[in-house]
Amino acid sequence: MAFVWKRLLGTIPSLIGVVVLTFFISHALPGDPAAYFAGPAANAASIENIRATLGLDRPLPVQFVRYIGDLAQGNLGRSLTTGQPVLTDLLERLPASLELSSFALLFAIIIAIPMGVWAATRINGGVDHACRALVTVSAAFPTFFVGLLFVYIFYFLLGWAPQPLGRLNEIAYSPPPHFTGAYTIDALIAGDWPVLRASLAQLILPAISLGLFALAPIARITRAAMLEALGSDFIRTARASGLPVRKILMTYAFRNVLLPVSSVLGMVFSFLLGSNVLIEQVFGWQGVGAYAVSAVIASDYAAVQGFVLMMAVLYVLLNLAVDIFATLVDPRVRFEG
Amino acid sequence: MSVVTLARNTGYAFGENRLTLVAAIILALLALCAIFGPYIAPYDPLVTSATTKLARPSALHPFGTDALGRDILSRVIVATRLDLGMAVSAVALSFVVGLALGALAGYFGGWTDRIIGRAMDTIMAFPLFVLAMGIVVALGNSVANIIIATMIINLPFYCRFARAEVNVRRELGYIEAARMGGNGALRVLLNHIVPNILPPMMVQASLNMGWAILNAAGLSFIGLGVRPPTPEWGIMVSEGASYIISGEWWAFMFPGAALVLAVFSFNMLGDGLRDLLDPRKRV
Amino acid sequence: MAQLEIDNLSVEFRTRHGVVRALDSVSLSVTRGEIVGVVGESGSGKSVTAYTVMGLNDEAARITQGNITMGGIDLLAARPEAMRELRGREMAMIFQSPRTALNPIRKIGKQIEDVLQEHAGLPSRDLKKAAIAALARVRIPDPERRAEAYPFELSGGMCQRVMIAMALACTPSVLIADEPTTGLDVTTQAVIMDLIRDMSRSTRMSTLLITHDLGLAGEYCDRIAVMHAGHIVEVAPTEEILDHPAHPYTRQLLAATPVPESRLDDLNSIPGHLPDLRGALPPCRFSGRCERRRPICDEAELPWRELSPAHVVRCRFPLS
Repeated sequence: MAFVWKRLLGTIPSLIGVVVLTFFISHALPGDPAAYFAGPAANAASIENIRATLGLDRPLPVQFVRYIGDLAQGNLGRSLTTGQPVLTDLLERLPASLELSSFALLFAIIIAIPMGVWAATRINGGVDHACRALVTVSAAFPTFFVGLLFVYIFYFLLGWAPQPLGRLNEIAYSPPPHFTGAYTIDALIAGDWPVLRASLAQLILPAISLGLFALAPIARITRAAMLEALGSDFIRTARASGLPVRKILMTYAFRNVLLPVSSVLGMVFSFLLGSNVLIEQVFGWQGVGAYAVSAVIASDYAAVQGFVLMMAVLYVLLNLAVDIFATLVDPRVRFEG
Repeated sequence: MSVVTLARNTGYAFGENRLTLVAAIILALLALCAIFGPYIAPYDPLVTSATTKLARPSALHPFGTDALGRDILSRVIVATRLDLGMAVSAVALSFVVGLALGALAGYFGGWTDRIIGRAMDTIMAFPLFVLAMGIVVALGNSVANIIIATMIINLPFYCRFARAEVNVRRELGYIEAARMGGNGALRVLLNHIVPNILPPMMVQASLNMGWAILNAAGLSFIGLGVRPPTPEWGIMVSEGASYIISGEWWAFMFPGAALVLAVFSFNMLGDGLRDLLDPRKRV
Repeated sequence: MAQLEIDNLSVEFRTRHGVVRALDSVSLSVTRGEIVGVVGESGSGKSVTAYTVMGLNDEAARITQGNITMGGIDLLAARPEAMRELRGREMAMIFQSPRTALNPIRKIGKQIEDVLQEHAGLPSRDLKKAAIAALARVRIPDPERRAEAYPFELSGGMCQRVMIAMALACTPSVLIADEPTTGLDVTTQAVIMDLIRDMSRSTRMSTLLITHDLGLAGEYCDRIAVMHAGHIVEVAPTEEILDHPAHPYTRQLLAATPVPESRLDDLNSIPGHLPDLRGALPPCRFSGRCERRRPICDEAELPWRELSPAHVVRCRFPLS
């Protein structure tokens, strides 16, 4: 388990970098937070007043120490729009976002990996072409546009999907009792099947529109890595040893594909966390992304900065998880440390 | 090789080249729209009309009209300048700044390299779109700041690329010779190294353009930077989104399609350029 | 009948640039406990011969004529599934660059267990012990601990021993060793080759040693077949071929092989290149680079000359 600790220690520079950059963005850039906090009706005197109470008139190093102190206490400031501490707001909405992103990722992985493997074993076959087309398309379509297209097609034209108004039609159903905050999981725990059905129905379109974009890079790297593995010397050895095809594909080739796939996951997470904002906006999903967007519109400064910091920390942790996974798969990484 | 395979291969190669050609033509058309947009557009993109609100596409308004009765075709055409302008300036800026930082890091190594490298790592520690949001909000909500934010999140790619290329070339014989010849560091960099790494970086830039467009449009979609009534594809999609559930599809579809077309063309052109420069990287 | 019989085998490859006639009428046999060397430059068809025997040629390969039998089983008529059953159990192969030939992320013990599980019919609780026994058989010290190692933790020579242990785990009757010592240092080469020879002798295994190194073949093989451009040009017992090469190409190969007493300027490289195996070829594919060539060499069908029952050469004008 020593290598897990090593990885954990390895995230510290990233976390320090994240905190410093967030501080820099919020305190050292030319924008004037005091003016934001004072609101549009403020005069010069009240802005000065706020500047003083926020400590923004002090030298940057002093401000930085104060900022770190606040962070250590979980104090991200207070939201102008909700009047609540930003951290409370964010934590309240985080499960919804995680639910959406996890389903999107799950969808992407379940489709992309078999697709990439299949494409690699039958080059220029139907799946291979589909794989390539998908990569091209997903690189050219904005996520939010695809989300809207899906709404138009599956809600308006076909009537298959419910109206894209958030996580649950709260006129017909009441949210399940709170355990995890993710409606689908909570409904499952409570055994409330109608609510589970309804919340899944709301989840499907946004999860797929988000997942499609994670699907393409995963499928592409799976295909490439699988091709490389299949052409490698150790696969030749496995064939010369008369191992069954299934074992050669799954235990020998595929396990070697997991490492390159996990290395592309970092990029996929960066994309998912960013696009989450856009997709939540499209589908009225009440997660942290939608919260950030309304904060942007209301110039709710602390809320946006809190959101950015939380996403960055989440991203660092996700990358850590990927790293640990890669280490478990590949002994070479484990020994290099 | 069988005749069938031969035919298929030729067809494939030709098809790829043809796609690059099509992409180049579309980009030329988009460039025309960007330059002459206001003169080409059949209507004033800002003039509203209470009588033609949300009119379906017709001969009069080929793309229909929006909720305020403005002609969508005209707005899509006029928006080209702003959308491409934002992306081109952001990419150009990250190209220049990234090249400079990367060249310094690669050439001098040591502390310069470590500080620049750490800064780039820190940018990459954020989900990039989220970082861009934070930067725009902190700098102030304007188009210029969208460009700066897009520039910053693109920076690490150019910087790392330039650093790696400079690092490799620094040790080559002709650079060594130039240095021995008494040329200063800056001179060696500018005259001997940078010209050689420009072509691969240009390919990187053209592949990057599509992504820059998507980022800038994404930021305006959530209400950053561009203010209504300015025509811009992202914000137009956002404005049109409200009418989808009642079936008025044209208001979001056409600006969205313009985005897709532009991004797709840049991607194809980038692929074509890359194949031209380095056929080995073809996937 | 020999354990492994290759009879009149021809193989071609359909490539983008035309049909490559990689093997033409190749015949060779290996009896039980015998080590036969197949020697030639790269591109001469040695490896294609090996892969064809194993049934591992890629899809572009076509067997146009000939027969291969192993212990009386017709390998070319066997179904793919039957061939797979034979590989690893009845016939095994080891390769060059042993470090990449092993799965980098699987413990070597597990990789041997995989082969045993497939072919040995052992209950799964005995697999581990059998894998360790296989490692011990190739004299790997401390096999229990080595079984837990990954390939990157072992030296190249140790990896090749693992490969041998894996190949011999089910005591096959035929072993094909394709350049097994390329890339290993000289002392390790000798250790590996001694091991292969001892294993062949003790299990009466028929071994085909594929190498470009005539010196190596001369040291370890009972008989040697020399290949050139898809043809076998000479087959003879080792001493015979080293002392009295009959084919001009064999003589050139010998002249190009370093021996302990030779100095650098004694070494000759072989003039010319292998002919392009696409398109029309003369009956003797060596004629293009042969200094003894005469007009008739390019005209009539090329006969086999029998210098003694065990020494045959495919040349109209053999050296005497």
